[in-house]
Amino acid sequence: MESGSRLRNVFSWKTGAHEFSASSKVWKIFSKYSNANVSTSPVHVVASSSALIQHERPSNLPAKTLEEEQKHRDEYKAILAAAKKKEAQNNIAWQKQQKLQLQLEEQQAAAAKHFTQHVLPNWEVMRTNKKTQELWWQGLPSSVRGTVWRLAIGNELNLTPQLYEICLCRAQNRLNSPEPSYCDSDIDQESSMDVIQLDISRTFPHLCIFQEGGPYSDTLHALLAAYVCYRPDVGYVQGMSYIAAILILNMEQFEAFICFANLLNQPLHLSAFTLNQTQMQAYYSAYNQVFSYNLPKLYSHFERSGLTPDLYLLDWIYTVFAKAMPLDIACRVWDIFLRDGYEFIFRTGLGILHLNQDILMDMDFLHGAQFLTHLPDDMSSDQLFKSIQLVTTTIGKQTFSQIVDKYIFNSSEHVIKVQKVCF
Amino acid sequence: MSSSRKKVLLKVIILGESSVGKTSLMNQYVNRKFSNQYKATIGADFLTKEVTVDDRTVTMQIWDTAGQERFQSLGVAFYRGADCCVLVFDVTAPNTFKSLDSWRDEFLIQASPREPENFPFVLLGNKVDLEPRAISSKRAQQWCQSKNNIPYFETSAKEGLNVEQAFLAIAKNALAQQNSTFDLYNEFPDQIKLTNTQKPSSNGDSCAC
Repeated sequence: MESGSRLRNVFSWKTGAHEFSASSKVWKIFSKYSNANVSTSPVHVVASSSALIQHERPSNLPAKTLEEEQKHRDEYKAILAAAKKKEAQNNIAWQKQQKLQLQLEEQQAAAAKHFTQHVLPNWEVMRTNKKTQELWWQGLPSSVRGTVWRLAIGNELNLTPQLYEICLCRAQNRLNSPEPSYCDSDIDQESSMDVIQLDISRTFPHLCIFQEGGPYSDTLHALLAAYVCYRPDVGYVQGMSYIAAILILNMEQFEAFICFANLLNQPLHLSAFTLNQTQMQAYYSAYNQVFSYNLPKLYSHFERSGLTPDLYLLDWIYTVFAKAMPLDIACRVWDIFLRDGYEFIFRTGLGILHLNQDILMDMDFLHGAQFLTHLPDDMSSDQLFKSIQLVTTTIGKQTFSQIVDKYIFNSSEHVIKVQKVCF
Repeated sequence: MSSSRKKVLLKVIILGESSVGKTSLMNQYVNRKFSNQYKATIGADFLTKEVTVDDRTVTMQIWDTAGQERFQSLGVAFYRGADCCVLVFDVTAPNTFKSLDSWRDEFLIQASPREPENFPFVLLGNKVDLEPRAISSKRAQQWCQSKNNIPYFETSAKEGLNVEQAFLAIAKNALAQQNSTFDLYNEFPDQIKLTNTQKPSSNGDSCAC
């Protein structure tokens, strides 16, 4: 107790950042009090209220009456009883929490065992196994997360660690060369490189590991710079740093690069990062359709207030929720994103709307937009996943991809029609 | 029409290169807070603030945008209906000053305001608390003069320097802009308003049919 209050005092002195004279006063007062405490009644040092001891009135003072004495004794008993009761309650709560924690750890251990012993050695067969899928939904154990992610992403592009080394080498040469290059695409790349530098420290800033001098700052920089050399046509686009960072947190550097390049080669992210507006519009339209199917009331409320999906989906798609959610929940979303594919990003989006529909119904355009671009920090992952389970991205027999295709087809038809009118 | 009695909502867009301090300025103004730990903005961020301009209470809706130039192509949805555009550069980073023209032009193309030459912009030179300085006040002011006298403020989002004053000017300009478009609407009968929705022929690149 005493050391606790001393610590608190140190911190208040630190954070208060008052002039030194003021802080030294605090120290003086403090030391006087603690001395007094120790010399007069050492009993007070004991923290627990159950150690409260009733003393007789000192003999140099007039004695209490019998009634008064009895009253004080009763009061003393009541205090003790209340303290004991509270302690027992705390104890029960603590034991309950311990039990839950233990249960969770056992579950995780069992899941980890299932993945390491049965799934990883036999990936192609076991990935679709019912038990695997169920355990996967509950969140991958962190010990196997990186490996499962890597296997789930695959390596369609057949990238090798050697290729990564080559790209890395080129990136380093580019960064070190004092000669500015003059051809157009090179200038573009240069500015890509500049933006990377600026974004590294603005990626998961609260974790303090990608910030300057942090352990993974150079790794993140290297990976992104290598990607710019590997895909100069795409370059670096804001949002990528979050995707790369979350991979780096879960696997080795070259593995993270291979996963990163393969992930970004999927249609949704390729459209997003090349800023292909026609394709993105098709995704937004498909999302709107499933949104109105799942949550018709909220959908019309958003329509009325002018809250269009591009205003909040952009951030969610570009970082796959890594920026919008606390890291542990984001990782759980990533688990299923890599299990089920890109539709899960939109399904999670609908899940967020489902979970918060009552609050959102009462919000105007700006408060709604503000809420969705700054999701609450205390969001519970279990509640979110319950909501996600209650929404779907398929309508009847139409899968989400089919709905998207329909809109892509429509928009290309539209372009042809417009051309016909013009010429 | 008693447009002055109506609740006034002003839409303000903040534009400028990555890392010039757009989010910081907005947060300093609205929440009076500064943090070294901002995440890069992707898409847009939104904040509101009530301000009193010439005895009228107006709600300012501030749209903070992503700074990477590539995101300019997403502008249409963000810029439409803006009442004022705030351009921000970093006084210690010359490239952020050089790209101001591009941000301004792109905004005018995408937002296509009624009278582009009179649309209110405000320029903020941020990070004046940092050394060494690369763009002098004089140079910034010259740029402003060349663009039809854009008001210029030197700010420090970190120290809260000049931020309040700058946003008050922004609110005033936005309000003036909104009032002038109200007048425009009221002066013309509906028929003319409809033809006005077509792109002005001065754009020159309209379809050949």
